[in-house]
Amino acid sequence: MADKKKKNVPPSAQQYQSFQDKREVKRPIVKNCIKAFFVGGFICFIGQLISTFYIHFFNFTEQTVGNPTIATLIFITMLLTGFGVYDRIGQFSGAGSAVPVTGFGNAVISAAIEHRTEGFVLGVGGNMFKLAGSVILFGVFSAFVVALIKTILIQWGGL
Amino acid sequence: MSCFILFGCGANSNLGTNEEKPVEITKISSTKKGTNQDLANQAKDYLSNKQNITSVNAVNTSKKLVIAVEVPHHERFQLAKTRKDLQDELKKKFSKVEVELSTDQKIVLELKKLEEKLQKGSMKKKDLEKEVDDIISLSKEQT
Repeated sequence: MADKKKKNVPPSAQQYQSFQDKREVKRPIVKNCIKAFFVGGFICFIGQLISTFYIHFFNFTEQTVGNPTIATLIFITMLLTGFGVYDRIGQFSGAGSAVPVTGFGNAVISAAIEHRTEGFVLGVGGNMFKLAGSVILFGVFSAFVVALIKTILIQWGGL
Repeated sequence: MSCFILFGCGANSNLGTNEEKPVEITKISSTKKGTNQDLANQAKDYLSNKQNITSVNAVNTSKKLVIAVEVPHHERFQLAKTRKDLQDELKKKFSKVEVELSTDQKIVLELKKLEEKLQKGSMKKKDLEKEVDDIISLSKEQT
């Protein structure tokens, strides 16, 4: 694929491309992965603390504690996004802060803040799920596909 | 990074030696007729002889027996299967009462509280029945 593309560009551009490849600062993939691993793990650790808190002090079981935990995490993210702290965490850790549910919260809230000036209906309301909409869409779609596969396996595969 | 992997392996290889740790149970000697805990004590004895169980809490009324077990952390991958197997076994063993087995942390906590109350001897039959019903409905709650 890459070679095919290269054939279509003029030789001067190819030359420039190889020159650029040499000079370009390499992405520290391993370092980024480690950062993402630890920051993501830390967010999940906080989530676990919140769940344990709800189990001990409120009437939630391990089955039902997920909902208030997620709500609390998103509420904390809302404050952090509003104060501009979550952006910095996101810059530092990348996927580590985007993959947990806090990343979803950040996507919704930052879009709402960004479009505040366009009014509440067409601005905030219309654009709030601009980024998170695709998360919901593909989340629901992949859940549907997985459910379909599971149903087929159980009904016909005898699992 | 390699340090983490080494430590991880070290922790795993020690797991085999921990199996002889005694199971946490507290038998309740309630002498009152309505709050007799013989069945619960029997269930505790039975479960504490089993492998891969770290603690058992159980309370019974005349019609219901509610049990909460804890398994070692690395066994939690098979939690659903363990729960089902134990529930089936205990249903056969205590067929005269309604058996409810849970592995939920909340149920463990609630049963511990109830056991303490029973141990103090300040519990009436009606209160015990109500508490047990509440715990059973809590354990059946879904999201």
